[in-house]
Amino acid sequence: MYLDENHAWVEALASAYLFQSLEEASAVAAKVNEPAQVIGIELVGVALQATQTVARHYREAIRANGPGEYVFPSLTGEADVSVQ
Amino acid sequence: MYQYSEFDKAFLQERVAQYRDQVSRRLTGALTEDEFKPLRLMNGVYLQLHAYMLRVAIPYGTLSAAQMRGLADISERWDKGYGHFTTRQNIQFNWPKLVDTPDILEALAGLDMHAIQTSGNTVRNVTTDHFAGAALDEVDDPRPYAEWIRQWSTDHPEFQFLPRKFKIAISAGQQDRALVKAHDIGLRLVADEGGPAFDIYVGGGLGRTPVVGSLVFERVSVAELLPHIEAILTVYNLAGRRDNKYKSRIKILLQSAGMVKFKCSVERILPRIIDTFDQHLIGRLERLKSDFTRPLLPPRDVAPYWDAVNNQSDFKAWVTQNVTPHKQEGYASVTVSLKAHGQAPGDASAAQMRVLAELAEQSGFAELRVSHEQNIVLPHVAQSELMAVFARLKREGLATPNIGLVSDLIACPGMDYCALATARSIPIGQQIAMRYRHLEPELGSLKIKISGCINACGHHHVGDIGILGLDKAGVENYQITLGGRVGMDAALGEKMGPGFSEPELLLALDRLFEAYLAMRLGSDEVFSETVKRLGTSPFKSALYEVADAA
Repeated sequence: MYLDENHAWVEALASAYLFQSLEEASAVAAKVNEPAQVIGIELVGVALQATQTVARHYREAIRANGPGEYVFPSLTGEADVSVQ
Repeated sequence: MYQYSEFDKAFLQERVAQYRDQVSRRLTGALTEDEFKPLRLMNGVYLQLHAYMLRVAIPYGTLSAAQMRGLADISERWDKGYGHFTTRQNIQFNWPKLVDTPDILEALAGLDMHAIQTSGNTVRNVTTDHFAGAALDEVDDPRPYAEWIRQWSTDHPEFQFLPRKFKIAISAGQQDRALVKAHDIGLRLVADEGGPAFDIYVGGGLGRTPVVGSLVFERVSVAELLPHIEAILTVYNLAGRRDNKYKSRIKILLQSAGMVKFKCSVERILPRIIDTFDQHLIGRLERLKSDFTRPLLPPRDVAPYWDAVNNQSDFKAWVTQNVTPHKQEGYASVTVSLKAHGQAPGDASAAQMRVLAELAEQSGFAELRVSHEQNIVLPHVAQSELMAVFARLKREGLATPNIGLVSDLIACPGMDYCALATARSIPIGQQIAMRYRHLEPELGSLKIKISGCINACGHHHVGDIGILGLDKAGVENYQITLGGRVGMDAALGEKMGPGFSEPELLLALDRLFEAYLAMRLGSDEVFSETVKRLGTSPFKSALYEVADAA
């Protein structure tokens, strides 16, 4: 989950608010860190590519985009049987 | 299989009710995450990179067909329609919502299953040989002993807050298929003059400080097995470090105290434990053995089987790789590969789980096993039924004939799921499987094990080829180790040198395999034998030759 400009939680990195300073980000993080609801808050380094917000570190990219696409042969009908 | 008693069923229902109340208090904010975390972990609920993860115990990897079908239902109702079978013979669901976890545990209780002690600093699932009860080379079926230890250790009041997690494995075959030397306690069941006895290995483990377990007690009688385990755990509980989680496993205690001192400490308290041990528990083992009697396996006509082996090349290839001889003539154990090329190793969809349950009911006495190499085993199948089993598996994409080959690799969930990981494992495994799918019969028996961080859940230290994914200045980087092996001659792999980027890794493996094929004495000398004969130097040269030339 990411914080948007209204300090609401959103699922897409593209909707996240981009803080311009570490001080501002830390202050807001402390303010919204409600222990009854929030497990933990981390600051994420991002970059702007054209109009897209992208994570700088691959961990955050995976967190934002989810795990890879995995194939189940029985679901796709691509039975994978013989290797000779 | 062990049949749950009324006590067991009531116990699980109480645990579910207790956990339901804890979740409810967490969701209303009455419990903070810090307060809730130890409670959820006691019920197998982790928090991973994207979501909660529920690890469900599959005791010693044994499942009934009904349980497998129930797991399929759970994966569809509360998860994303698949489950991940682990190297410790458990199953993990990667996407449960916290609010649903009490319902999942209730559904599991209805299947005589639970997630107790799949997390936390306690005795975890006791693992064993996936061919137990069917293996040609076993002294005795190790599962009654595993169940006996499970019952003794479950909710044991003295061992719920050990310095760190504690893993026990039992092996009863000539060949160790349970990795006993890579466990905190590894038990090897042997035939002694007075009947079955145990060699007890202590202090093995992989992780960030890999150690091969040491033989501490030899030929321990069955009657004194649990007292020995209790004495070892008591010494560890008292003397194991609690100030540093990276130095808190029993292997570190054994190293720092030394074998002699450690053994003396155990022997000092052992007589008292033996004298006062609950004799009721000793007697229970005999009753448990009746739960694990092998099904009656009537003789069958095997002529059609041999006809098919001789006349169908795809069936023959599958039998060669995926079918293991059984202790009863006319029967075999089938290993169903969960490593179809390109699939996440160890994952099974709900549909696949249901097919496996159906096959177990039709041809496998309704019993299944999870192997530590993340495949599923049908332990007792008549050879006369193997053609039908193969045909069904083939239709479902479950007949990949790759057991023991390159694509039968182990990969931890890695950074695709795990909050601790420093690199991805599954996509690396997928790429390796796809890249060498046509070469793997030529490459022969070869174990590749991939971990996405130094915690080594992918067992990279004991792979013929181990791959460790690390974060090198924000880029995934993969180190290679060679020469690791499991079994009674277990050894840790040797780190070859600097790591490779993801694309470089595959090119390095190309060179490694090319070198192996050029240097082996013949097609019957497998990779590990060539490495043992020549040492790792020529392989290291092959791995780095292009990088050095540049």
